[in-house]
Amino acid sequence: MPPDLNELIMRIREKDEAAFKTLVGMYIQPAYRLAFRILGNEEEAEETVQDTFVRVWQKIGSYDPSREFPTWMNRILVNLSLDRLEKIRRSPLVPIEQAKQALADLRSSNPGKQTEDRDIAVLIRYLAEGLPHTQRLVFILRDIEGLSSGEVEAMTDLKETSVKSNLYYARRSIREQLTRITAKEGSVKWS
Amino acid sequence: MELKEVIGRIRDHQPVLKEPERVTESIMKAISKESQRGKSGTLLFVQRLLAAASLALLLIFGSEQFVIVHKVSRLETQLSKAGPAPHYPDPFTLVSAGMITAPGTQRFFSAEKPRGPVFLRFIQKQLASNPLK
Repeated sequence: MPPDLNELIMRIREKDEAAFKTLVGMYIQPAYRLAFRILGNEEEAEETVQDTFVRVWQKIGSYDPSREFPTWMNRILVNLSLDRLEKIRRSPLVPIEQAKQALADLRSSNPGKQTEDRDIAVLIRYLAEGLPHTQRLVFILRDIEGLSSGEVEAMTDLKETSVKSNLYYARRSIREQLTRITAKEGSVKWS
Repeated sequence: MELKEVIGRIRDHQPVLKEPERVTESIMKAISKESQRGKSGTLLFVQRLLAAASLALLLIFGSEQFVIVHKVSRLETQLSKAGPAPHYPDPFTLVSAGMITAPGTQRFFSAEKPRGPVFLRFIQKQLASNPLK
């Protein structure tokens, strides 16, 4: 039976490290998944997850129990990921051949077979190349993570109209990027 | 390949942290350091507080001392104006700055008026300029 989250948080507020370890065990994988999708890099995602949990430990006193804990934690993670994106902005671009290979691997994989994280990371980085951070973030949260507009607004402090417009421009840019690697197959359609 | 299909494939793929135990340990170490830093921060605060308190006490006692000395000095000045000049009894009498002679001794090394041969005057002058040597 999973431990009661509210009780865990109460104990963490009293600086109970064992309770915090339980919390880390509960949320480390979802946190890594989100960080990986935003950053498109395994090492950076791992470091961001560590920073996020340390920040959660430091700031748990300011957590409002009336709010959803995962949303509060993801907000921290999103902010730290954005900071990290800013730092790695000048990392080398993904070569188009590499992106083509990653896409081919993705297509050839069976639905049951687990695709390599590396291929997904390459594709995310390639598709999100040149996107402003906000557009990238909204795209990842809405289309990849499948969160609702309300959840995205809570995590990013953006208004509904802003979420919609950022998503629109992000999708358009990503479609163009995808067209470049699937040029032989003709234009790319959204649906 | 449609964009929606690519996005769907990416969404279906669940990236997994390879060594969650190692990362968890790393997080726990980091928060332990954080806690220790908090404790040592408290200790540092106490140390600084004590240092500030001792400095404040030194200043208070110093100023008290200054006030007392100033009052005594003013009182002495007032007394000297009001009464006869203070008499300093023998055996020591101040002849001039830096020259103290015992009663009955010859004022041979006087800085005021060198006498005797030239070489002796030179020695007298030297001694008068630095009487402690």
